[in-house]
Amino acid sequence: MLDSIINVLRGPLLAKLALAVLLVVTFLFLRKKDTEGSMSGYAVMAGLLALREFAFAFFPNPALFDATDLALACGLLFLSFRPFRLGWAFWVPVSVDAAAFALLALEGLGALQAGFPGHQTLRLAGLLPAAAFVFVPFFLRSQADTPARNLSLRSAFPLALGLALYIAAGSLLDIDGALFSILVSTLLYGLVFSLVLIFVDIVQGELISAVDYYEESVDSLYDLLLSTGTAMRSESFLQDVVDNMLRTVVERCGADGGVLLLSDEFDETVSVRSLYGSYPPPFKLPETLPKEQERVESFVRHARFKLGEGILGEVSRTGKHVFVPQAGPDSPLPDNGDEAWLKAGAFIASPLIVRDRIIGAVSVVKGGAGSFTERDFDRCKLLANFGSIAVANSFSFLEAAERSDIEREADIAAEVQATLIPKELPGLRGLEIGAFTTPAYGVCSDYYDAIQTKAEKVLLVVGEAAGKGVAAGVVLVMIRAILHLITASTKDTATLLQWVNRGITGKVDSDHYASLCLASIDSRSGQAEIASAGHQSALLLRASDGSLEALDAASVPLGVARGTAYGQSSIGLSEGDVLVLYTDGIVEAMNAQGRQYGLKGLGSAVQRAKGLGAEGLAERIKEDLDQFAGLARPHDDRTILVIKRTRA
Amino acid sequence: MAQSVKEIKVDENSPLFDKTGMLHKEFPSDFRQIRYFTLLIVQSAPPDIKDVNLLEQQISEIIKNAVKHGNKCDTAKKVRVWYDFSPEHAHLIVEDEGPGFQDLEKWNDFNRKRQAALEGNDFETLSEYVSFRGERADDNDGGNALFAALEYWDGGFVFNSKRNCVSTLKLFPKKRQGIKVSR
Repeated sequence: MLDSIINVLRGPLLAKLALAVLLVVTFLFLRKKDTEGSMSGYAVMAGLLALREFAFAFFPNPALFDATDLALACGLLFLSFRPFRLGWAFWVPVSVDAAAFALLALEGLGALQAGFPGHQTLRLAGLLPAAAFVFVPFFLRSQADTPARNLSLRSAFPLALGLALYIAAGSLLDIDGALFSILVSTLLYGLVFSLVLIFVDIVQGELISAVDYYEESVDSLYDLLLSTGTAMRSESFLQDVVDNMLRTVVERCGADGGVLLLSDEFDETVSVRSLYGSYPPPFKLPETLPKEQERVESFVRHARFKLGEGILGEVSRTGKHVFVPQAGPDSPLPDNGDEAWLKAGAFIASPLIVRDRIIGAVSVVKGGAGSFTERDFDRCKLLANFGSIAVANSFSFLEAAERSDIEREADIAAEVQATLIPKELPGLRGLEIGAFTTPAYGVCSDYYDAIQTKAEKVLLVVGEAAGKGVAAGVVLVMIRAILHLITASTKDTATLLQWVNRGITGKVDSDHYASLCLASIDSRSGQAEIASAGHQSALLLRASDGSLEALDAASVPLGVARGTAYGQSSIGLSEGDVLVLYTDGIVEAMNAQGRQYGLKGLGSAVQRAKGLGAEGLAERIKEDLDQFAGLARPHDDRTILVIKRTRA
Repeated sequence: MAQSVKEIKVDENSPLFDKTGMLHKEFPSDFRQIRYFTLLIVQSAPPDIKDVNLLEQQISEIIKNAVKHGNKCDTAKKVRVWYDFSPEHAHLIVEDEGPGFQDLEKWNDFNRKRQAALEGNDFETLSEYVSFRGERADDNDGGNALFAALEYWDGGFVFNSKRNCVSTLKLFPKKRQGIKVSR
């Protein structure tokens, strides 16, 4: 007994066991890279091999050895083709082997007469699985789509060859003999080990191709960002962004053409915004549309879909991708005719989603018999995802640009207006002048001035152009220019008004309207000449009795008719009398409760502050008005000019 | 789905006559100054309102009706205007001192028939309904400004019982940024 153990130990058993254990460990290790469970099966196989070696070392029965060889061959066959669904090609060799295995087992156990039909002969049944390894892969070649299947197909031929050699050698040589033990039985280990190598190679190959794919994806993203990013510099940049994005998607998916749709701003619809390449429409064309390439292309270019309408409307409603790998009876695409350019074969549509909002969709097609792979589909999804961000950014950019245009115009108008306002008011003995103007954002239509025409005379001006912004500013500039030219004349204020009116009426276009009030005051005599063109009535406070009077004179604003004749009124100002000229924005100022400041508000503010000088008065009125209006948004410019007669 | 025919309504108690918080101006009924008045009103429209020219034109039409058909261009008579603008709406109330829009029902009837002819593609009948002419219409009245006005003022077009005061509301659609995902 001890001798036999020592003999066994001296023999190759330990080395073989170590090899088998190594194989088991290797397969178990590879399990991590195998999602289909093949590696566990092979680990069991290697375990069984070790078990068999161990058993044979102590019970050297050649028939049982042959029987386990057949079992192993069948096991390999089973594991190899388990990833496929196989019929007879699998079960024929397995059942023949099973019969041979049964006979061999019986012989091994001594239940059969020796030499019937002889284990060496029965052993040849193992050639059947070897043959299966050669032939079956011919039928499965097209199905190498997972690593386990790939492994089966790639290892089939080496396994067939190895198995055949092994089975044949076993029949020819003595299994107990040293030659078989050293040369042939190790072949079995080599075979199993080759599976390891092939599998590692497959995994490696997958990895490399995945890296290639991602490199290509990164490349296509770079392409996308570059083409959409540089488009932002151009004038019609939203169009360029969608055009460039679509081109990148079509090219990178290997498609023949595509369309890009954007959701419409006000309606529940999506519209085609860009068409690239040849795009057989994936929706039913109207019967009335002539089947001419140009007409169909133009129809597609302007197509618009309600949400949920047709395949493109559906993608825009649900935000789900649609993938039709190739034309076929299952294809959801309609038949628009037999013309080749109308036949959409393969089709992909991906929504453009930013956060939880669908801003459009992109769709690519391959005509006729063309097909898309999963990778093309993934690429389309990827580019749609990133492209959506580029499109959304363009929207934001456009909005910002629009806003900044509005703001720039408002700023320019405010600047123009600011240059019109006198830097300082003239000082005359016997006359104080105070003023303020607060422009309303984006309106800027008020103007005031105080022009000293003689040593003792000043022309006070308050006006308001109809309209706002730069357009109003232009009218104000014209009025000011004319006024400064003509004030040197000795004509009365009514004539000055007529001249200004002529200057701005009708010549350029009929859109220059303004109201204007002119008051020419002699600081010595206190005589004032007031003329108004559709302007708010001037307010007069008499110091003698504290009474208020609105100097109302119905008149036509500037710009209505060239020949308008204006009237004027004369009043005498005594010491302490206050004349207030103002614009709409003062009396129409509204507080949060919806009440207007009105002439009443202005009048009482003037009365309360009548003891102050002109500047103080203006300031006090502004304070009172600001307090009244509170935080309500001003709708119009507010301008006031206050004149107070003082002791000469 | 056939759209319900738009019509001019008469409802003294319409919420559109609530003038709370509205800016107010008064003008003499001078036909030449209609555009001037309109500009003064539109001045307070926020810069965000997109098609401000169309708004201006539609306001001008309503003021013109008040000046011309209401006050018969009598400059002693006033036109009172209340107005309120935001980027989402334009609300306008215009009151004149005239006898009121007496042909209102006739106009609605005319418009209904016109609309029916339009929807039925009955162009022969439609040709009779190209332009509505009241008894006092002159050659300068196109007779179809109100059709456009009714289309434009999509938030309502209501007269008071005396029919000398009209209140109109325009709603500006809010721009939609994409479609909410519905799964």
